[in-house]
Parts: sequence; structure tokens; C-alpha cells
Amino acid sequence: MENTLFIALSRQMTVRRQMESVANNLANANTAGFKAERLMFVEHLSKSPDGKQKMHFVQDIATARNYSSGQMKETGNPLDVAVDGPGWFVVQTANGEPRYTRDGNFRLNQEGQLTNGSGLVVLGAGDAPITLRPDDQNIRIKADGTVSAGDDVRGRLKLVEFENLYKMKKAEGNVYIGGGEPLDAEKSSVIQGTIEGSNVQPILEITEMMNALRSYQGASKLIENEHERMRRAIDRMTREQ
Amino acid sequence: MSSLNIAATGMMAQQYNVEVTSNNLANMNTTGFKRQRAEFQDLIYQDLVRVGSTSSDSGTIVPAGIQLGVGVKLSATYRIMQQGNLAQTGNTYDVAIQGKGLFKITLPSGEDAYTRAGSFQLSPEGEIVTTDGYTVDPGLTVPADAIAVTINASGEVLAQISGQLAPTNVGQLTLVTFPNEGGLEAIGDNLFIETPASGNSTEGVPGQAGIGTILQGYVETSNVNAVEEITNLITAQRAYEMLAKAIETTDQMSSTTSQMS
Repeated sequence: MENTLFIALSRQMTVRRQMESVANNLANANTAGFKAERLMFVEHLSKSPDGKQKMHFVQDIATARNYSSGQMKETGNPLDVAVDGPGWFVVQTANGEPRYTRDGNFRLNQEGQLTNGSGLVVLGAGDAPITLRPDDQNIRIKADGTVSAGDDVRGRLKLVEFENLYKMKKAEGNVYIGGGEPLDAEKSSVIQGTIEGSNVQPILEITEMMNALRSYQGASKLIENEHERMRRAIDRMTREQ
Repeated sequence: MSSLNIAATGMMAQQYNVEVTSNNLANMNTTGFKRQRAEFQDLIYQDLVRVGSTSSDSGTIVPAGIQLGVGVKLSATYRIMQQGNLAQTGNTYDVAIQGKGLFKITLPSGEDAYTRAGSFQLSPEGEIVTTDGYTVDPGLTVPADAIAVTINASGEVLAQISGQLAPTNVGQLTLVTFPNEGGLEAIGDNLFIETPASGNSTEGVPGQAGIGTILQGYVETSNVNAVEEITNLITAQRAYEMLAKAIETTDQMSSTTSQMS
């Protein structure tokens, strides 16, 4: 008997989660290399207890990440790099695991190794870190990722691509855990002195938010009306006795 | 509802962003100031449905799980050690560094600090000091009877003493470099100190390979770019407004729930 209520409730629960994902997108509107996320909804069919009707619940099935490129912001900082194309930079965690990132906000650690914003070492070709010397000047990073100081080559940034980006898993600190075997980058190049901004489009997020609010209110209204209908039915049936 | 907290982390982050930007703008005319940039990172993710988890007995797997982020944090205020413009002053003891390196200053406590602000003066004893009166390493004293003082590109301080034909070499200003200049800690008064992140200092002579040269009669202005800071300010403000909107929407959703009769 309460099926209507449960169906409306399933909508409300998913809208709440949708709102969380919108809030996270907005919170990361200025995070370098951030990719906007959306919840995907599907109909979940199930039979009513009497087996005669089909009920359509709402279910959030997946987080779909939009992997399109963010806006390129020129910073002029020699260690800021962005990827043009579908490639990823590779950094290494303290446990030696690879993580992948589009946030090319690189810097040096006390040993002169190139690291990302959270201090994870950036890997070069052959999985070796790239080390710069204290007296290195004129640091150039070419489109193929070659890092050089003056005429001396100091290493080459490792770039990888993935076949199926939807298998990528997000970890904290602007890095991803890879999904599937990383392939050598073929369609990507490196731009020096530039940072890839987040690809969150505020206008879309705002409309998504308005949408979520109205859906939520609509479902609430439905619950209210259903409640009222049942109350009236009970009222009328008891009166006729 | 956690979207309240998520949006709040975003508002906090944007507030820091504005603080960093306003500090840059406030120091636009500070000699040797290096601008900072606020950098953000996303927080941990909640896995509602884990990517790659099995969805049936026959071994099918979930191709994309449900991951909900919980907001953003300020990860660093990175200092951009880009060269500032050189402004001519004509003062004898104004020196600018062209290229890498910092002057080494001895603080009254005896500790070392480093600076790019080369607007130096003479102490009552004729020593080259900063505007705060701290000694510039290696502590050069200009003779009282010097008529003119020249500081050349490699930092040699040459004093022309009255009655002498050839200038006297008083000593040499040295510069220090770090593996990671961005890791220096600012302590105010245009000074930086060494940290584990900056690495150990290497002392050298100006003009040596990898070390900048000295230019007398100039000071290095800040490397703050007003246009960039203003655009930053605008983006921060808009993001802040939108996050406030997200909080408002969440609040409206909650009030819808509480008003259900």
C-alpha cells in the first residue's frame, strides 16, 4: 500500500546524493585538473508484493566523470605544466604505487626532485624521478615532456593514456588510481607554464542544483498528496460504517 | 545533509584564496616581494559502490562505481619565485639580482635569513646593512673617506677613496641558491629562512654558472601582476557566491522535508 511513498522516497534519497555531487563540483571549481562529476540514474524495476504491477524505483548507478579538458590558465611558472590531449602525468605514492594526475602544479622537494602539490614524486621515463640541480637555470619542458636546464637534459616526463577512463577511480589530492593497463601516450603533449583548471561549468551546476531542488520538492509534494489521499480514504471508509 | 559541509569547505577555500590575493595586492609595491598562489586539492571520496566490485554471481563487474567527494581543501600557498621588474633608483646601495639567488642576511639573533630586496644602506660604522639595520653577508665595511662606491655585476664592492687613483676592493657580496626556492619560509620584512623543504643553501659568487648577476642602482619590484590578481579575485568571488547558493538550495530541500505534514 505504501509503494507510492517508497518510490517518491527513492527519488528523494538520490536527489540528496545528486546535490552532494553538485556541491563537490562547485567546491572544486578552482581546483587544478579537477573533472566534474554527475550521478547517473536508472529505473530499478521491481514487482509489487501482489506480483501484478511493476514498480519503477530510482537508483543512482554510477558517478560519471566528464574527462573533457579544463580551461588552460597561463601562469608563466616554469614548473607548471599541462597536458594537451587525453594523457596523464604519473606520480608515485610513498608505498611506490602509481597515481595519475592532470594537475601539473609541480615543484621541487629538498632533494631537487620534481614533485606534485602533495609532495608525491613525479615519474619520468623509465619510472625514475626527475632531479634538477640547485644551480639549474632556464628550465625548459618541451612538448614531448623532455625537461632540460640550458643545454643539459635532466629527464623526460612520463605521460600515459588509458583505454577506458570510466575505470579510473578518484583518490584525494587531485590524483586518480588507474583503471586497466596504462598505455604510452601517443595523442598527448605537454605545455609548459600553463595549468589546466577544473572543467566545472558553473552555469550547468547551478541549473543542476535548481533541478535537484525542484525534483526534491516535487517528490515531497507527491508524498504529501499521497498521505492526504490515504487519510481521506480512511476517513471516508470509517464514516460509512 | 553533507552538501552543506561540502559547500562550506568550498567557501572556506575561496576565502583563503581571497586572503592570498589581497596579500599579493597589498605587497604590489614591496621591493623583492614574490607573489603567492593558493592551490586546492579535493578531499577524500566516499565509495557508495566501489569501482570494479562484482555485481553478480557470474562475475560481472561494476564499470563505474558511485564516488561522492566531500569537498576541497587549501593544499598550499605556493610562492612563485619569478623575477620581478627592475626599477631604476640611482641609489648607490640599491642592488637588484638578475636571475637566481638571494642575499644572505644575519639577523640580530645570529641566525641567517635570505632576501631579494636589495635596498641596502650604510650603518653608522659604514657597514652595508638592510633597511632594518641587519648585516648583509659577508659584512662589508665601506671606508669613511670613500667618495664613490661601485658594485659590479659579480658583486665586488669597489670604493673610490679620495686621493687614490685606483679603486679599493672592499669585498664581495655573495648570493645563495636553494634546490627549491619555493620552499623557503617567509618571516616578514621581506626575509625568508631555510626550511627542510627548501633544501640546503649553496653559496656562490654572482655571475657564476646558475647564479644571477648584480645590478647597482636598481631594485627588484614585486612580481605581482595586478591584472592576474584581479581576475583571481573575480573567480574567487563568483565561486563563493555559487557555493552560497548551494547552501541555500540544500537548506530549502531540508525545509521542504521538515514542512511535510
